[in-house]
Amino acid sequence: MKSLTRTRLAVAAMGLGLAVAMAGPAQAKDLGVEGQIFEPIEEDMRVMLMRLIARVDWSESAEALKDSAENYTKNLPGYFLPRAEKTETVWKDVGIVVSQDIYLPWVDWKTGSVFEPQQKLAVEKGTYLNPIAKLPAGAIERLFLFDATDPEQMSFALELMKANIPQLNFMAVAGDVGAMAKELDRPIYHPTPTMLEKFHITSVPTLIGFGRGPQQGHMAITSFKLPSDVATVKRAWFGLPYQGYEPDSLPDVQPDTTTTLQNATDDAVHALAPLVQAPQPQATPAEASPAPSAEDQNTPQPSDGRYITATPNADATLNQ
Amino acid sequence: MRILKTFRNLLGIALVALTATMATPASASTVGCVGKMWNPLADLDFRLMGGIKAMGFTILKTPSLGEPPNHQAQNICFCKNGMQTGFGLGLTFWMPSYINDLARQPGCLGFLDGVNVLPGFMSLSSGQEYSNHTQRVDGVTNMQVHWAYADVTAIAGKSLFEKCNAVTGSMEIAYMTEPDFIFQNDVYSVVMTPQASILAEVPLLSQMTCGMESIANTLGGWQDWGVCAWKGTRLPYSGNAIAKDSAQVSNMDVTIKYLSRAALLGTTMRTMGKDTTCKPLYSAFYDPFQHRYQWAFPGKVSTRYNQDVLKWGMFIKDAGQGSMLSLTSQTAQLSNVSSVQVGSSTSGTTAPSGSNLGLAAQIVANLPKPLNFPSHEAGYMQVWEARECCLMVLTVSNAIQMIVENLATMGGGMIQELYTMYNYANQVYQIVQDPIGAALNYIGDGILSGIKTVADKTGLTSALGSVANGIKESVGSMAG
Repeated sequence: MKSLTRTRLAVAAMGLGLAVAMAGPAQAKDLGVEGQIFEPIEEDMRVMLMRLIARVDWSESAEALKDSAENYTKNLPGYFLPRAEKTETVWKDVGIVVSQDIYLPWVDWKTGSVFEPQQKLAVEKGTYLNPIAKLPAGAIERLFLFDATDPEQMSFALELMKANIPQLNFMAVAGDVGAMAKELDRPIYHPTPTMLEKFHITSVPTLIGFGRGPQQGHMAITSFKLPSDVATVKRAWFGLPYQGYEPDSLPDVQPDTTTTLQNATDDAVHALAPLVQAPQPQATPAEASPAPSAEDQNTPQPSDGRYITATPNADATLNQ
Repeated sequence: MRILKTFRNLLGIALVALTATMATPASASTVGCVGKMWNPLADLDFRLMGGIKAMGFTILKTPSLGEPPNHQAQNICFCKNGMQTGFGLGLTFWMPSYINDLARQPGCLGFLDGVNVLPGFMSLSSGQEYSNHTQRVDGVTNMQVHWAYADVTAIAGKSLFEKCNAVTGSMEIAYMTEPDFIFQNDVYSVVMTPQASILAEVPLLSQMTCGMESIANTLGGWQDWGVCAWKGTRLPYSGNAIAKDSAQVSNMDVTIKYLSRAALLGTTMRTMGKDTTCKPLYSAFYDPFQHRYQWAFPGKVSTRYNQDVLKWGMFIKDAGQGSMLSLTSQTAQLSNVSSVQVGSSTSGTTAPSGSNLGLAAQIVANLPKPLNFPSHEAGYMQVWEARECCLMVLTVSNAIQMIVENLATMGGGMIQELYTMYNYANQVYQIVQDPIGAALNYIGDGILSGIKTVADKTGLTSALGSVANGIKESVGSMAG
């Protein structure tokens, strides 16, 4: 037992000694060259790769690239959405409420360095931001979504194309948009993977419009029960009217035309005034979470935290 | 007469030749769509392969573009991958993985010698300002991006990279932006990513942030604050860029916007950082330092994220107005002017006056200007990607193999027993890892065994045997 204790003490002493030795300042010393030095005999990796590349006939690869480009639109995925069962507008508030303080980098030119920037508060937590709040709704382009594999929807889309409505664009959720675009000599778009979900497109044909007045800053997603006509699409340009909302009688918001130096200075004062707070843990812009706006408190809000204001009340829904 | 006859014959030959030329099937080449045939041997700048490290030790020197500090693998790594689970050595390297083709004319593929594959989209206007205005006049340029997988190393040097699972062998167009309405339209793009409005809320701060970031990176730093591109903001993620300096810079801006959106959509993965040693990971945020951008047409220049074009581009010499002496004296006049201050101040510096702003504009006008390069029409680049790999040294599979080989001398019965035990253990492992796959494999095995029994009894062993194997493989692939 005694010998065991002694051994343990000896091991502990050795460990301590080793730790002290390793904790000491590192000694670096040039020990010179011992023996003969040979140049590496291995081939430079870059030369080897060049040699391998030179050995390949790349015309096949170029052909494969060309084929995939020519068949690109044919191979795009089709999204088969159900036909709309009623003509109605669903409103969506595209604004976000910032869920954390957002900081951007800032350099104090007297003491700081661009390599070690500090943080300045850019947007305060709780701020409601709507990217289209100040945009005239009439100036934004519209998008008509349809299923090109459904003959009735295709013929409705063709009818709209013949009407030549300015600012109206077409998107086929299914069908070869490349071939269609070539035949019709106009772009026919295809949805990106997350777009339908983000824009809450659940049926087709659908028009994406934008509201005015009380619906300023909101997206109007209007679905059409077939058969429908050009006039109905035009009526849905700012979302279908409902009691208290007659978009044709409402003016567009005026675009911000700040051009004078004084106005620019005022803007600068406004923008820079909050930028005096101490650095805080940084939140990146994408951490801002979408949330319903304060101005939509009077409209029914979904309970699951989505920022869609899927609201049309009874008057907003136009059944046909 | 003889001369006339000869002349007539020559004319006839010329006409036949002309007719033959015109009768050749029309190539899809369109006016204004120019380019050069992609050629990896001539296009690639192999210096950009540099920066290979194994366990932190340099194997191939880093090129002048530098090595991002985040490009580090774990020195000793452990990766889970079924029977290939095991330990290995961390390796970092660069691969020429993609072709990024930027076109002013929709549908025009510069890297395929200027062929237009989407003629129906021709009406999409680029609006590229350089054609109509002098430089430094603000305007919006819309460029189309054609992103292609061009896994050159997979084809040429498979054995070099296959141990890293870094080869796909793909040679295809991955994305063309023409049919993508969101990419064409800023408003819809900002609706998709509403965080862009944060920048609109504080435009001055955003501009200054991006200016500082550009200075830091041009001086050799590695700053990415997530909101900038070369000369504009990164958001919204559309194909529109403010055309301020040159086509060269606008094209880089559009590239960054495209890749940032691709990261958000999950089509561009994060390939740097110790946690990506085993495989690339999804990240909503694009790390622009994971790519080296190497223009291949119309010229060969390389850059990394947000280095000023003065550092990597080409220049045209001004007619004497860029005198450094006068620039120095002009700049000195602005020494007491604050770029951030508004109104009066007690700090000794003053807010910029109208004449200060005029002088600043004059200084900028006198700086040497970058050449509009690549051309207005089209250009393409090779995109080199930072990769990491766990070079497997000891896996479950080869450990078992070693044990079995060692036991081979110990007698057939024992090996058979061990092999059966191993199969049981492997089955249990598979069930735990992937219950659905295991169930489908079990069904597949059952069908296989049933068909083989029938085959043996009917004498159709060979034909039915291959059918059975096909069914088993199909059922297996459903699982996985």
